[in-house]
Amino acid sequence: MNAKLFSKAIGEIKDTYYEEAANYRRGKPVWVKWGSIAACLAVVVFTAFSVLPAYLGQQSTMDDPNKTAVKNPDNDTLPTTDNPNISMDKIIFNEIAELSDAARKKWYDPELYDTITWDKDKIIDYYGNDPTSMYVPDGLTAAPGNGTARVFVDKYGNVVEDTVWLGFFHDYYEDGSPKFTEDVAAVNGFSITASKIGLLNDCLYILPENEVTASDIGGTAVTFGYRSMPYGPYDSETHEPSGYYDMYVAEFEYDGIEYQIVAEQMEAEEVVKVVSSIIFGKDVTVGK
Amino acid sequence: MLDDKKIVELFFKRSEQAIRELDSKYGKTCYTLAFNIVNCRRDAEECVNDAYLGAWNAIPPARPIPLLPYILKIVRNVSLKAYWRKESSKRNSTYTVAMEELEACIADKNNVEDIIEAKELASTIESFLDTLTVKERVIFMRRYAYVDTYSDIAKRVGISEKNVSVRLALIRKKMKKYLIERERFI
Repeated sequence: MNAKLFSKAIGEIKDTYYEEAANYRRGKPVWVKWGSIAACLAVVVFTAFSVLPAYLGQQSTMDDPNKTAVKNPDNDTLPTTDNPNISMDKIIFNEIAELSDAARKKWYDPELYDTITWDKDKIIDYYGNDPTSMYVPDGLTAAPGNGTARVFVDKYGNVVEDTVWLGFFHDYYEDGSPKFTEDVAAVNGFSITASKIGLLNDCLYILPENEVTASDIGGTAVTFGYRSMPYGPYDSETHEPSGYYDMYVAEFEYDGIEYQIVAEQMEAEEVVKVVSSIIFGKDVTVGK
Repeated sequence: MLDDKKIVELFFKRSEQAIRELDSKYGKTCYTLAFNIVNCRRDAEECVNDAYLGAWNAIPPARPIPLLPYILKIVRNVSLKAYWRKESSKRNSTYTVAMEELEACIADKNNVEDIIEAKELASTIESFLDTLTVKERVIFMRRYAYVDTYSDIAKRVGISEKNVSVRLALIRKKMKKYLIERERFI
């Protein structure tokens, strides 16, 4: 086989593939700069819990949201030696220059669109599987608001917004939103946003274009981002933050589903484990 | 803009308006594809015009709905022929000339074999494409069917150029494995 034959073969493939490539358009990006990272995160968290309560979590955490999330029971039967090994040396973290307002969502005219609520069965039916993390670090629990997803459909019943959101944090306030930690005014844990339609581009963070490098995890290109996040209270005179904590973002597409993971106050290795466990469908070992 | 069905009806009526409507609706896409292959404005325009003529001769009896993939495939074939012709004229070594002389004698046989081989390979590529995600498929098709630049693909699918490059490398790697397993990689 040579390039010429390959080229001819490409010219012979079915029209449907050409059509798909011609008509594919990413979701319209809505970039909004934000001056205060802490304020934005608060909005993210608030919106996530008030507008996008969704849960595809593990059965154990679904049945009892207050129960500490555990690793998938199926994994307990897997021998450790079978687990894929990921080396942190191969993971590239791209520094996040700025963040978009991730909470900003498209507005759907109620005259044209309806909001419907999916239960867990419907979500799994739609996604074809349970698009949730197989690995949840110790000490994190499933968000109480999880369990359903609010999606938008047009008047013909076609799904136009299928974003679902999962949260796993160390603790929660009464209203269900994640609690800040005592020493650092920020949440501790991670959220997963998933979409088949591909609307996640609406809530991407901004990276310097030429510096973005994806990492290869099991053949899937994963873009990891990192930012040292300031937290309050801010000094009234110097406006300096009280300190900084780590925030990681991971974005990738796997099995036709786009994922965005935002982790705060977590170790990089733990974030890589969460991502890898989604891709491999089981626990992985992460080493140096 | 007319829908594809109405444009095809104009072809069937042998109305030259069909070409104008086709050009108005898909001309820019056709030109971009041709230009990405031949890399010359004048040649690209010629290729698109030749493709329109090809469509004019083929419709009827063909009734291609949707029209876009149909016309794009013609543009692609015409442009690739122009590209290979141009490349060939650049390589005026004794070997190239000798091969071209020989090609003239065995062209028909080769064409038939090539077409069969290309169709078989196309079928394998289709099966491979079905194993990819929609986004991966679009990236692959935009690069190797539409011959888009990394930059254009990045804008279309909403990722960085570097990410396009990484994803394409992974897709090629997957495809190589897929073709080797099916004894298609020789």
